[in-house]
Amino acid sequence: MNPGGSAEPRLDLDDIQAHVLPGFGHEHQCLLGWRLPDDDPAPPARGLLAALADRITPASRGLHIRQLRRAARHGRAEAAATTPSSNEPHSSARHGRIDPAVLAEPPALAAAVSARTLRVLGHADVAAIDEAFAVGMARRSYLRDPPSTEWTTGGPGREIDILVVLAGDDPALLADAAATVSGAGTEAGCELVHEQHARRLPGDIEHFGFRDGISQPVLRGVVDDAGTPLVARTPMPPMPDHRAYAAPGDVLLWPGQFLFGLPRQSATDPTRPLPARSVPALARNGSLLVYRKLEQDVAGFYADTARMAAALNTDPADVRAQLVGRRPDGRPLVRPADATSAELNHFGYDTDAPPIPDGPRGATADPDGLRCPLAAHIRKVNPRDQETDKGPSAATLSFAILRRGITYGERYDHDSPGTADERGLLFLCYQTDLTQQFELLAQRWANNPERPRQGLSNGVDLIIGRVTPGTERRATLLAGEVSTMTDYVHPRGGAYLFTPSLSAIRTLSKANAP
Amino acid sequence: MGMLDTPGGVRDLDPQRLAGWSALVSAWMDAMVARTAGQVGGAEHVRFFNPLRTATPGPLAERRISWDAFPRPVAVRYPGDPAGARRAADEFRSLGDYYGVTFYAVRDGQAEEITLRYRPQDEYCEWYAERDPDTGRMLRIVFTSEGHEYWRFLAGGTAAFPSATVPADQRVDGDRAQLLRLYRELVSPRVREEDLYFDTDIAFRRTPDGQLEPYRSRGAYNPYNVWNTERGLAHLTHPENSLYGEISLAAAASVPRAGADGTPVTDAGRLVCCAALGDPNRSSDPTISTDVNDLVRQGLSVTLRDPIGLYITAFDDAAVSGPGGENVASWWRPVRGAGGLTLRAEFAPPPDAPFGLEDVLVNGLPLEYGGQLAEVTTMSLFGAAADLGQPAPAPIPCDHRCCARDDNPDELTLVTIGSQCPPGWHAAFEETPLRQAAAGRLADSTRQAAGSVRLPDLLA
Ligand code: HEM
Repeated sequence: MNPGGSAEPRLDLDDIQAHVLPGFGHEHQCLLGWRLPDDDPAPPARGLLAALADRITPASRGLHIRQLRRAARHGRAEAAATTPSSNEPHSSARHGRIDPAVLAEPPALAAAVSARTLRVLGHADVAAIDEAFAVGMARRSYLRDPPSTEWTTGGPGREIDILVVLAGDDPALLADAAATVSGAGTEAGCELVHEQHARRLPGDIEHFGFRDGISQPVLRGVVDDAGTPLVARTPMPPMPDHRAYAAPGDVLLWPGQFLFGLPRQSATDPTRPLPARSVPALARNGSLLVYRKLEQDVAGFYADTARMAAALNTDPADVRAQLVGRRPDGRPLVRPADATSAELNHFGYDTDAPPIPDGPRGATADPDGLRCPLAAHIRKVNPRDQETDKGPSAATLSFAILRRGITYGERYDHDSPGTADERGLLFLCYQTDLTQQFELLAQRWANNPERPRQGLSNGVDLIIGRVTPGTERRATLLAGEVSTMTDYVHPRGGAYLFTPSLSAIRTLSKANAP
Repeated sequence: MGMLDTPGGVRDLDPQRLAGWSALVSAWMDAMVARTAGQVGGAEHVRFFNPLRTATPGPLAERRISWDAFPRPVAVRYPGDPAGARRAADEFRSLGDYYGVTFYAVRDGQAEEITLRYRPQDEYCEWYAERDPDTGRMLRIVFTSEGHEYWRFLAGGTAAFPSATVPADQRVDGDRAQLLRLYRELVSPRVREEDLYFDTDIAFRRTPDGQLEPYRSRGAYNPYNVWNTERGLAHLTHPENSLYGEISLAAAASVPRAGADGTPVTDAGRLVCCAALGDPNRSSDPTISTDVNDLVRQGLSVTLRDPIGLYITAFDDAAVSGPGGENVASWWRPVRGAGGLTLRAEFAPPPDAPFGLEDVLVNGLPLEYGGQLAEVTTMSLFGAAADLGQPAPAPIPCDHRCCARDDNPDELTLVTIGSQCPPGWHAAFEETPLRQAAAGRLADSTRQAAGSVRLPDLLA
């Protein structure tokens, strides 16, 4: 069953928050951030958490809602015409009528807390569970963010101590829920410092026009005594990258990579787990959340990529695809253009992916970036089966994150440019080690022209890479090198937070026993 | 090409000694070419070359190979505890423990047990935090990537390396006055000449009741002297942090390898295990090995770019700031090595700084350990390759494999092929339980395998 021979752990789906697992798939989200007062912050913190405790959506419920949504969507998809190269229903279906059963669901809710909140509630040990978490995002200077005094989210005096994420398909229900939660926060004595609405764009694209949310690790683990895996397993031939897959393109990871108290992903062995880290009981089934508000300059992105294309004598659309590593509809550049929806994530960079019987065709590897540049966003943040400066290829699994981002703002209208509206990505991701996961991808790799792949001229990730202000960002694309002084993604702040289990939220909301 | 330069192109030597240094490095390269020939079944299959002996068509293609300066072997033992890893990286270890021997100072026929210390900072970068003796406050943190060989050469000339076959007319003496000058300039004006040399004969025993075997004679340069360990830093001390080690690794990595089923071993993790190319836990060794091996499999012949050395190539100054966010990028300063080939750097406040090192933040954390800076420092070496019109040689089988620790499988150790993993360890990089079961149980284990790799080094 599992080549390493290690049994998969039981996942407590009634204790884990649904935002961690399986994530909120809804069309609308509302993020509310509170700051605790400087004086006597504990009672307001407890008050708000107590009001939230019974509303938090557990993973079990999240999975149920997701099934309902899937069933609703697939039902419609059968009727609607779908493009052959997309497994997502057409956008009209996605944003069209939604099944009343799903609409009537109360909005899903998640809550996360800062290190400060944990400290004031007497859990300094959990606040210290991760060095970067304890220090906070604003002080992680190597991320090269603008100074936190310029942040619109989570800057000085507006630090987010408690973050609530609400999600639903019915905007009216969502607004009601947000109002209720807002009221509870104010009543508890917390200060609302952040309110952010977000809405998925049709077809799950992000503002630069590319389909997002395709590649995501799959958690190992079973959900009942019978040993039913969380995610069903499709039989797969042995893969040349020695990894285990739930299905083609769905790599399996040990859940401790994302949830405290469970077996972790090894850096040397793709299938055998590392034992769970010993952590305070309160941390179990919890996870570290990165929240970054990333404003996207769509006009700037299009103008600058057009300039680059002119210089290289190529098509601007190709330049943009090379910066991402995929075409707008998600087809990966390492595959030929006729890739089907089932083939979007079944590929490697170092070794050829074999054909899967009754599944995707094989894919030729691209170790030196001849079809997909080494500096492409998806290669920078997930080198897959390639060895990196951080060691053998198995190690890349141990840096993986669970992305929970959502777009905000209206779609940019290329026909009437000049709209001053702000738009971008609320980048959210889960992990259990900020330095070795999010920060490694963003700082060590995306910002570094020589990593993760060495020895070849490579460049920074021109989507998210940041360099010393006033210096050029450079990348090697297929037709040659490009460089720019323009950033298309502007970090506007955010926070490092801890998303506790449901039981931990209840514990936190009660006064400590003397 | 006429001569091989000193690491970093430093100019401490007169022309005659410069030529002597070149002859010494060249002799090492020759020895490596010969060793490789023995492995691959004949000189015609060797793809590692000495640039002084092999004419290449046109300039060599260069390849920069980089890794992080913080010792990964220390980090893997502290999962989720970077602070613990930094503390451990600053603790000296015993050289005797490393080699599995006990060292003795032998005076008038009396042997007295001694401890020689080295730093566990084994990514070819070591550091030292210099403190004010009165206040205990940190004054500067120095980093070096300089192997011990050059310093031993300064002390004893080519004769310090009896196993290297340097032609008689190129043998030179050391320059002890220059060695002392360097120590005084780089480490401390208080260094006395006698501090740098063993003041007795040094011997070792492999077992408590074993024979005393000679190690170094009285008057020989002591790389573990107090100014290179407890009280300062002149050059690298870890036994695996050597220039010779770099050359040896590059040569060994030029040999293509194949697994039992004949498939080429290309993956960094497997390659290092298969050919015992250094420490599988390090960042450096697997990275260097695979890059070199890659070039050979592409049909190229490889060598190291002159000047051969290990270099401190980047420091991420965005990671450091003053207590109020002040820019302290200029506190990092390369101090030895020419043309960007930094062998030594230091992080220290300028004379007029309004705050000191303890006030500096590294990604928000107060600067306490040199390791915090090593974490954002990049090391490199420069490989070079030439197309000599020879195809890649046929791969040879693995002679080693790796075992992973049961309670922390990220920690690896080498065993010879065919031998069983020690108790508490399991086979690493094995895909199926079937294959694990097939491996026979043999008595010899890690310790012996490690010993056989390291002892010749000790006796060199
Ligand atoms: C506004 C900023 C960003 C944009 C527009 C963006 C866009 C995209 C797109 C279009 C994809 C391809 C879809 C997929 O493979 O699922 C992707 C994948 C991904 N992104 Fe981003 N992204 C952004 C920020 C980030 C950040 C800050 C990180 C974290 C360091 C990140 C990590 C990832 C990861 C891990 C993947 C999956 C790669 C794979 O597994 O192949 N992204 N992103």
